[in-house]
Formats: sequence, structure tokens, C-alpha cells
Amino acid sequence: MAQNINPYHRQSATATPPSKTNEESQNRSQDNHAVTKRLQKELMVLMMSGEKGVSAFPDGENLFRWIATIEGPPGTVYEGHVFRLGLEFPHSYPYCAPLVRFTTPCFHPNVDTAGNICLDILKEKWSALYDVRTILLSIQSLLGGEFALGIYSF
Amino acid sequence: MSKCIRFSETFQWFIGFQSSEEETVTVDEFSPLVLTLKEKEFDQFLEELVIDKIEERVRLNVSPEFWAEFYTREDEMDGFKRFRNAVKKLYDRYMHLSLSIKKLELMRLILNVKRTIYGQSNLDETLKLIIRSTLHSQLPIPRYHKIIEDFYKVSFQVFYNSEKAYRDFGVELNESGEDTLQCNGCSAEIDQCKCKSIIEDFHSTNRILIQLELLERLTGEVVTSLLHKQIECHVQDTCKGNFDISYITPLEKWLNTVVVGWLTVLYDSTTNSPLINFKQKLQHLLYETYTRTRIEQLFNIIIEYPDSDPAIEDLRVCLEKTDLRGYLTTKLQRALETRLLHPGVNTPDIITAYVASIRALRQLDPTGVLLETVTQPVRQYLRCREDTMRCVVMSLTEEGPGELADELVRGEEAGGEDNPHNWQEWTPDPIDAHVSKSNKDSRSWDIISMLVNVYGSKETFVNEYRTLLADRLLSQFTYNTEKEIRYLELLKLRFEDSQLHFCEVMLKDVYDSKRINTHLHTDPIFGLSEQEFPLTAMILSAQFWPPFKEETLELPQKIKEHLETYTKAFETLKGNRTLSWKPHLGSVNMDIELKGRTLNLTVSPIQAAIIWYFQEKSQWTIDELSTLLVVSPTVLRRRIAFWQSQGLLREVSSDTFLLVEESGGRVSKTTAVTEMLCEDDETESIMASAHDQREEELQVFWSYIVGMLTNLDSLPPERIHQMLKMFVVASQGPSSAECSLQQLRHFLDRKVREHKLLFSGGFYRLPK
Repeated sequence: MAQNINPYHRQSATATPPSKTNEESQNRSQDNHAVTKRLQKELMVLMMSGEKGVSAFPDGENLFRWIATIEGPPGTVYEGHVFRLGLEFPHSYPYCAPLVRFTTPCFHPNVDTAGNICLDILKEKWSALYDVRTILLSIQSLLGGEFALGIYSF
Repeated sequence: MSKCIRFSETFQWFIGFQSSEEETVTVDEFSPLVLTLKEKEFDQFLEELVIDKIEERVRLNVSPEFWAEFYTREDEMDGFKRFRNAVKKLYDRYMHLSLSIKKLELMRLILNVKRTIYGQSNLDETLKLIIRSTLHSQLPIPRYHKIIEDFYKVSFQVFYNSEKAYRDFGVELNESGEDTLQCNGCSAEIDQCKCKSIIEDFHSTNRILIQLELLERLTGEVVTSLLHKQIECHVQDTCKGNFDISYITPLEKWLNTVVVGWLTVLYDSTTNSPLINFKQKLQHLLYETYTRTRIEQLFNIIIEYPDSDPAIEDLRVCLEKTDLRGYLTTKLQRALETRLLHPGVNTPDIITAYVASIRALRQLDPTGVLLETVTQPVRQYLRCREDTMRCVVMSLTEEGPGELADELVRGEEAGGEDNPHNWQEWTPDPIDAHVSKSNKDSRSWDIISMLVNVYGSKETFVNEYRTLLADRLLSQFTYNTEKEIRYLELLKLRFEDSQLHFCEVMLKDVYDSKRINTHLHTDPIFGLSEQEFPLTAMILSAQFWPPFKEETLELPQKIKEHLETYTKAFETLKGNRTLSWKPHLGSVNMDIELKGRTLNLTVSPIQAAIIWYFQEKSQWTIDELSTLLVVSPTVLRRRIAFWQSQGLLREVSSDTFLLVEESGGRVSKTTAVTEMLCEDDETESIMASAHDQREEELQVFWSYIVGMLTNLDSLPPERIHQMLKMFVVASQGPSSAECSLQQLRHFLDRKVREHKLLFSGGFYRLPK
């Protein structure tokens, strides 16, 4: 999974931290710019796709914090319910998975009382090829029971 | 006792109204009597008695008699006579009373008395004072104005007419036919003209009034208002609907000769000082009236501008002398609004009027403040018309004597900037200048930039120009671009090169297409020369052309093969590149051979394709053709209508068409329809209209708004606007059109009306 490795992390791991602080901050801002661009693009794709049932939008001016809405998949007990989620993107996105949690209470074996979700693609199976749309669709199908394999360990 | 009788006799003699004329009393007879009176200290008593008696007379007889004339009136002439008679009678009475006064005067002379009565030492003055005050005390308000007005009106008419006749005399002896019957002055028949007697009456009456010092008091107000009316009438008569002559000098001359002349006659024996003052006032009034008249007509003046130059020049001079700028602004604005800014006026007309007003107001007020304020609503209105830019661009580039085209050729004016060399000539802005727009740069004189600035940005203009250019290039299908290049060069002088870069590429495409076509056709390797019919292509760089209206069209197989060959040839010539055809754009020149006749027509591909299929069988239904051509039945029907009008197809039953081989008599009848239909086809733009493009952009916004509101529940419009600016414009690049808060609100409200949004308490949200 070469695309999962953030070049910035590799570099900072090999170099000696104190001498590189200046360059680091520069890197970070450049990085941030790239991340912002990526998120902008994702937002556009999401908006233009007209996907039914899932939706997300930046919460205010901060592009790194989004609010998402998922409709309960039809044919399940969740049908007719609307769930709100919060997405937090790390600065190393898309090399690291965003932090996703339910803000509306959701009774599901893979969701704990705090709203944390147990989903493999948000953990060890994360890939930079995933985006907000696929994450939300995965969570929606999780509610539908397709991925309900590993029960969240309380 | 005897003393008493004597006194009574003396008194009678003093009062002696009836027999006064026959009596001839010499000073010798008189003086002893007076001395006796003095001795008995009766003189003062007697004087008071006499004055008292006179006052009574005036109060009871003279004044009511005078005013009695003022109560009824039939017409102007009657009024004139009544006033004249009243004044004459008053004068007679005065003369009568003054006899008694003279006797008193004599007595005073003998006794050398200097006592004052009513503050006057002269008894004659006292008499006048008594008459004046009594008349005033019995003033029959408000009737008396009418009669006096009649009097002066009639006399003024006579005077005015005689002056006019005098002026016209040199030019024409017999002015016009009507004059032979009626005298213009007194409206009587010419052989009974009373002008002369009227003038005489006028003079005599005025003399009396001056003598009694009644003129100013009685008539001042009336004369002023009369003159105001007359000036207004004259100004309106003179410059009605005529804008190509300057009227200031003739009007001033008229004022000086007629009005002031008349006033001089009126006041001739009094001092001249009030006259000068009066003259100045009248001059100002004349200017004001004239300016007002011109302002009323300003809209028409502007429309006729280059011809109405003298009128504008007059107005400019007058505006400096009068304080009517505010009046002008509101009046003209209202005129523009009522005559121009409503749906009934075509956009080109509005633009023409706007250009004319720019030019006219530029001359009227070189600082540009007037223009700025007056045309503000016009600009605002033009902004909401969809075809404004199209019209501007069209008139800019159209052939023939277009005003705007000339303007474009003329180039931008260099003036307008503050020149450091003539800083001494600097003047502050007029008082009505807009404070916030104090920078002079915004007040450009250049008509083109003013028009372009209607939209606030040059980008919209350039985009519209690009669409228009594309339209023209593709509808003409000629490779002649010289004229377009010339316009482009002219436009480049005004706009930045980068903005017009796209257009340049477009023109270059056309030029290149021509080259490639010749190359492909002349070189036998490509095998184009072996084709059944010659095919040329317009090769466009998709990136630089505005989006086309998408239409589907499946061409007949044979034609597709031809296109294929052409594509192959092109690919051979330019490695790595290929062509993607737009089959619905283009033109086909074809010969149609029918029984006994051949038609040569140039039609659109879809029309050609329709008639092509009639080669195979002579009867088709709309549905069959629709599936073959992949064109919707409605569009198809419209195209078939063209062939119907040509007399080639006939609708045998509904939705079924049959080829008509033999020419019928109908053809000639329908030619007019044909032309109309063809024209209709041509004017239809092949470009996606600006409106459609805008809709598309708004659709993008709408997706974002839906996303926003789904996740953030409800938002105020300001915040939606801000978010759109942050996320849409950032992701779509600067080329995406900006959307003002105002426009956004408009759009959102539309969605509310469509029940796609809810609005409450300043927040928008999605309906559940």
C-alpha cells in the first residue's frame, strides 16, 4: 500500500527533528494546501454526484471538519431515520483516515455509545483511494448489515 | 346768529360741488372772508369740516362707484372698457374734489398755514391719500384682479402684435391669410380694428393712475403675473418641438423689445429705477421658463441628439444661470423611466437612447455628474435585460453605419484625466455630485466602456462577444475572417489581450480549417478527391469555443462514411489527433432531382438528412424518421415544415409524409412563407444561450446549497453566499460566474416559490 504512506511522515522520521523545524512548517503549509485542494475536489464530486441518501458539507469555514448526513437504508430497521455524523480530517489526509463518529445516537453493534464506529476501512484497511463519498456509502451499508462482522468491543 | 349763517354760507361755498365752476372768486374778495374766519379762529374748524365732507363723499360715492365696475364682466374687451371707464370716472371725481381742495389751499396760502393733515402738508396729496386709502378699504377681493388683468392683457396683446407686425414687416407684408379678417391685436375685424383707440385708452388710463399714484398699488401684482403668463406662453409657442435652433438670443431680444417696451410705456412718466429691477427679474424668469420648457422636452431633445445640438447648448447656458439641475435630474429620470424602461421597448432602442443621452449629457455637463446620476436607472434596467450584451456586441460589429461601430473605430478618448498643466482651470464638482464617487476616473467618457460597464465587468461582455463570434463564424460557413479579425483588433485596443485570447484562437481555427481543407483535398494520398461529394470541415478547438447547444443527429450511413474518410485523412495529417463531429452543425448544398425539375438548395444537415431518406421510399412517418435520425419528433416536425413549404413533402395523413415529385401550383404561393421560415431558421442561434449557461451555473450552486442545508440544517442567505464563495468558486476556478448576494437571494426565493426551500426567520432550510 504505497499510496498509504505519507511522504511527509517518512521524511520527518528519517531526519533529525530540531534542524528541520523550519522546513517542516513550510512542508506543512504546502501539505495543507494539497489537502485543502483534495477536500475541495471531494466536495465538488460529492455535490455534483447527486448521491441519494448520503451527503456531507464543511461545517463552517473550516474545511477539515465536515458534517455528514446518512439516511437509514431502506428495507432495514433504520429506514426513515436520519443520522448525523461528524468527520474530522487529519492534516495528513488522505494518507490517514478521517475520524468519523455518529453525532446522533445510533443503536448498532458496530457503533459504541459515544458514536465511534468500528469499520475496517476507517482503521487498518484505509486507503487514499477512499473518499468522503465512499466512506459514507460504506457506513450506510454497514447499517444495512452487510459489514456487520466484527462486533465492536466495548 | 348772523355769524352762524355766514359761516354756513362760507362752508357751502367751500364745499360748493354744484356751482363751483360758475363761481369766480378773486383773491381780493376771498381774503377778507378768510381773515374774518381767522379772527374768529374758525379757519381750522372749517378746514376740518371740509376735509371731513370730502372723505364722506369719497367713502359713499366715489369709491363704491369705482368698484361697482368690477363686479360684472362679459369678456376681455368688456373688462378693458370697464376698467377704463372706472378710471376715467374716478379721475373726474378727483378733479371735482380738487376744486374744493384748491380753495382750501388758497386759504392756507393767505393765512400762511403750515399745518399737516394725514402727514401731508400739501392738500392735494391729502386728497390722493384719502382716495387711495378709501379705495383700498373697500377692495372687493378677489374680483378686482380679473378686470385689471383684462385691461392689461388686451393692451399687451395689441402692443405685442404691433411689435410683431413691425418685426415681420421687413420680411413679409401680408403675413398669412387669416390676418386679413381679424386683427391679431384686438381680435376685432380688421376694418373695425380698435388697436389705436386701445392704445390711446391705455395711455390715458395709465397717466391717470400714475397721477393718482395708484398704478403700482392697483396693478403691480396683476402686471407681474400677467407678464409671467405671457412669457411662458411666448416661450412655449416659440420653441415647441423645434430643437435645431438656438432660442436664447431671439428670446432675449423679444423680452427687451416687447415686454420691456411695454413696461416703459406703462411706467413712462415715473422714474426708471423700478424698471431696471423689474427687467432683471423678468430676464431671470425668461431663463427659468425657457429652461423648464427645455427640460420638459429633454427626452426628445436627447433622442434627436446630434440634430438638437443648439437646444442642448441653450440648456447648458441656461443651467448656469438658473438653479434647476435638481429639477432636470428628476424630470429626465422620470421621462426615461416612463418612456424607455418598460418591457414594451426593444433593447436596441434603449441602447440607442442610452448612447444618445451619454452624448447629449456629455455636452450638457462636461463634469459627467449629471450623466452619472441621470442614467443610473437606465444602467440598472439594462442589467436585468438578458439580451443587452448581445445587442451591444451586435451593434458594435454590425455592418453599415452603426453609431457604435464608428465609436469603436474612433478609439478611446485620451482626455478626461487631470492634466497637471492646467490645474489652474480646475473646478470643484457641481453640488449634486455623488460624494462617494468623487474619483473622476469612474466617469469615463468613452461610450463603449460606458456600455460595457453596464454589467460592471468586461468579462460578461467578452463572453457574449465570443458567443456571437462563434455564432457568426458557424452560421456563415465561410472561411473569410478578415472583417472579424479587424473587429477583434479594435476590441483588443480596449480590452486586455488575455480576455480576447479565446476569440483569437477561434479565428485561427477557422483560418487553419481552410488551410487543412485545401491541403487534404489537393493531396491525392488522402483519397478525398475520389469521394462522391466534396466535404470540408470546420475544425474547432473545443477548449476555446463556447459550449454548443447539444442536439443529436444520426446521419445516413453514406454520409457517415464520408466523414470517416475525412477523419482518417486528418489523422494521417496530424498524428495523435482526431475529429469528433458535430453532425447537427453545418450546411449542405444539394441538388434535388425530381420529375422534370431540379432544385439547388443550401440547407442544414438535419433537413438534408430528412430528404435523403425520401430517396429510399417516398413515404415516411414521423416516428420512423425520428428513430432513424435520433431526433425528437417535435424538432423533426419543424424541419419537415421547411420541405413542406418548399412543396417537396406533403402530409398525407397525420404524422405521415409523402414526397411530391411533380411541382404543383402551390409552390409560388408559399414562397413568402418559405423565406420567412428560412429566416427563422437562420436567426436561431446554435450556441447555448447566455441564459442557458447561467442556468447551468446556478444548477451547480443549487447542488451545493442542497448539500449545505442537508448537513447544516438552516442557514441565513449571507452565510450561504459566503460558503458558496468559499467552496464553489474555489473549486470551479475563477471562470465560474460570480453570484452577488442579491442574485443569490433572488435565486433562493425562486426555489422557495417552487417549494424546494423553506424560509422562516431569515433562515433557509430544506423542506422535510
